[in-house]
Amino acid sequence: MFVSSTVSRPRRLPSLLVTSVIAYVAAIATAQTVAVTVGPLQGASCFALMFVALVNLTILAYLREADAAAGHVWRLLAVAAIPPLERLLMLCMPPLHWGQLEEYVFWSVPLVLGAMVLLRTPLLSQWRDLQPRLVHTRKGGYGLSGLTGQLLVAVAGGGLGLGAGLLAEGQLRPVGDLLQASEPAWFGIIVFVFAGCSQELVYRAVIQPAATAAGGWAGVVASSMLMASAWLAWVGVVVAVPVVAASLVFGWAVRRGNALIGVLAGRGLFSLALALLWHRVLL
Amino acid sequence: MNILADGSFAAPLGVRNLDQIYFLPLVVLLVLLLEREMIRAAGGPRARAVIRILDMAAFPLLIAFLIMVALRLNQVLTHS
Repeated sequence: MFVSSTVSRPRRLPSLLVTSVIAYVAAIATAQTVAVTVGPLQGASCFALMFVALVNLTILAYLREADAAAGHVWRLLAVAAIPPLERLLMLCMPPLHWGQLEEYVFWSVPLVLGAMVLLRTPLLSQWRDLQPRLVHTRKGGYGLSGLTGQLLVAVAGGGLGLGAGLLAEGQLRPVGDLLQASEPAWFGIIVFVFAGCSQELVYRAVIQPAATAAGGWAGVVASSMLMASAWLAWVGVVVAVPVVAASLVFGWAVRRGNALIGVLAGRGLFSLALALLWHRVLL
Repeated sequence: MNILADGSFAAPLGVRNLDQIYFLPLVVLLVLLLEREMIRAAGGPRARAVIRILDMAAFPLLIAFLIMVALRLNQVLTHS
């Protein structure tokens, strides 16, 4: 894991990287399983241990890099510490009684602020050309083709959210019932912005560029599956199909178009559609 | 009556629902801050960069901690 990233041993990195990614995904899946089957405290403890271990591995890798400023092993490890932190905050933020779904706000605000600070540091400078812009697409900005593509991605997100909701409930839920139980504006903001866009922002703007730099399209798939795995533990296998599909579509769209706006809107619509159709989301 | 077990000792403050899981991010934050101070005390040529890595790791946990404190203060003030 601490092999230098300099040109002296370039052939060892891919196999080492694959092994490390498999071990990492297995650790995430195990902790997630512990959280669901044993209890949230035990699962959160696993994620806490993973987070602290990855931060310390980042420091060790940084100290061992021959040229730390140009090295990318410690950068990959630093980015790998984000998903355990996300799951830790997801499990540990307290639900209160002055609204519904407010825990989404509590865990997504620290995560997004942390990601924004991270984006302004030299940590991700090596992957600057892989980082997506908010609106400006790779093909020349604000033209019709770029915006059409972003719009299609957003619509696809909404459609996949509807599919997930229908698979979960098997029938449409009366929207009026839902809005009576919750403040409509508060509900919409939380589900669209905090439950949807924030997670997408962290994964597509920070984790995916790092994964893409390390493994190309395989990195896109790995980061998309990593994001979808946050859902897999509690939505079940059937509902997980559109969740995984949406995650892969969003990953592909960001890699292809290099713009975030369509994906953010698509993920917000996905979460909104799923929440409107599925009782369990609000329980 | 075991007031620690039934949580009634916290009733005047309105924080009887404190669960140990809510302290986990705080424990992680304390570990990182402790490590930061140890590295700062040890010094060395790369200490500053390592401290910056720890700062970035601790920042989201610090925000989460501040949110929790604000929520509890709000709860206490509401109950009083």
